Amino acid sequence: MSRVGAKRARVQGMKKDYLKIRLFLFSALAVLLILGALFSEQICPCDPYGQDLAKALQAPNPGHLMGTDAYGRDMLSRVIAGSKVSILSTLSLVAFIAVFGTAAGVFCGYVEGLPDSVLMRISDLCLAFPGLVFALAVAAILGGGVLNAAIALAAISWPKYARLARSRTLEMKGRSFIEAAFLSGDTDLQLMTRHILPNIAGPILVTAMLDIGTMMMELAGLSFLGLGAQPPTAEWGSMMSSGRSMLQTYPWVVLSPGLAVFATVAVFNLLGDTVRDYLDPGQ
Amino acid sequence: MRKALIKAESLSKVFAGKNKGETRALYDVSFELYEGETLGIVGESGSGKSTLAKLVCGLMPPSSGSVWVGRTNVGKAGRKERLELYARMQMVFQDSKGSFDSRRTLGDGIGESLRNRKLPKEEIRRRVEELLTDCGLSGEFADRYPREVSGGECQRAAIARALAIKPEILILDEATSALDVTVQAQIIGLLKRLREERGLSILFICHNIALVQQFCDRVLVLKEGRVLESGMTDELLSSPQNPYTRALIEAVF
Repeated sequence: MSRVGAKRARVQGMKKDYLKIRLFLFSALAVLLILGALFSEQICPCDPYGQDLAKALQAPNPGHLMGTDAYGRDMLSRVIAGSKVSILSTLSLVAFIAVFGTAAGVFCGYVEGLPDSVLMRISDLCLAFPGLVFALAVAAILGGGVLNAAIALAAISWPKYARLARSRTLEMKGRSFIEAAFLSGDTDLQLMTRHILPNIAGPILVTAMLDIGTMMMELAGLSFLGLGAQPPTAEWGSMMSSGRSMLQTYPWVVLSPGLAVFATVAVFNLLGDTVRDYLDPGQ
Repeated sequence: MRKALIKAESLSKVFAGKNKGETRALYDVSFELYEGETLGIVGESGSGKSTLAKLVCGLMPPSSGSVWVGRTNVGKAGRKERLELYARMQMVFQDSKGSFDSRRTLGDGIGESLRNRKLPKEEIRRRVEELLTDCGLSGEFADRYPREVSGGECQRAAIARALAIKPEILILDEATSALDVTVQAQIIGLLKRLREERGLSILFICHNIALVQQFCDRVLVLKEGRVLESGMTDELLSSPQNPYTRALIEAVF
């Protein structure tokens, strides 16, 4: 190997090691956040719903690390309890749209023809709605609540996965390994699940990872507007909303959940970026 | 008269273009592949050779005409008929690496047709290793991935896959064209031996007329989707009637 080649290989090796460290770090942080959300009841220092008006609006102190809100509830406990709604609902939302969108896309790309046209026009229709307006409509029809907000977000975000999966499926279908598998007697379902899906899963996984942050912001945004989680449920968006009039005087009521959203979205976005770099180092 | 294994009757294929109208890849092509013979199909790039191979295998439907293998109409076979059909007829592709799923081992690909016919696992593994050995590789290649082997080794594995369910007809679509000359000679040698041992009838699609000469009994010359002439290899190559065939031969010899 030439000297230039050797140097390049060494640099690439270092980059790969650095990537591995990043991947480990961010997935550890993400797992920590998810565990925290799962066991939020066990790790809350105080009762997130226990009101004590005598302690209302205390600044952060050793007893209440993030202070208390207008009803004297411990902010730290509420932020931890809120992670359950925010993180778990975001994760299940993203998992659902990724699975559903991918399944629809692979099916469309594989069969083509009429079913493809119909499903793709429906997806165009879904994409045509501005997210917030659609969420407002859903909330108006079904009422507020995290589930309804998630339904509204799912309806406008599955087409992204369907389109990605469809175009990759069309590309795969022309490859000779698919033709060879067909000649080996594979059924359509086998071709889709055994051969096409594993070969297109990479970019879809990356899209889903990067979508976690976006979806979390949107869910929190809808709750902030009063279309998602309803008070007194501890949820970051609605907590920020209820504290927004006190931003000047008691900033911790808004800043604590705000910081939580910021940190969580950052962790999942960085993880998504790292996974993307890891899966296709060419970019 | 010998038995015709494949009967292609006035095959045509038209590809519908999105804005530049339609492209005709094949015009009214008819031929027969007889039992035990090797029929070569030659022609330059774009002459419709690969389209013909795909039509014969049922990988795409013909625009008109039909392909018969025994009593099965290839273009219209249902799932059950297809399983029977592909137990009689298999294909080897030009792009050996691309014809294996990059996420699965070679052994997995070779055993696929056996798995789809519900053979027990140990039996499949035994047969896959046997096939690999028969095609000049060792049994360990079953656990390798396509990226870990050379083009020639991969094409041997592809031949092993095609032979896994003991077909009587083999369709070779430019199966040696992507390989360098020495490897090409080895693969042709392997194919000659397998043809002898297994009594295969072969449809050999190739642009290299020199290879066709040493491998085929009969030749069909294709140009721009039409059959120009056909005949026994020696006769056709020594006294070609069509000027295009003459030009094709002169380009090599």
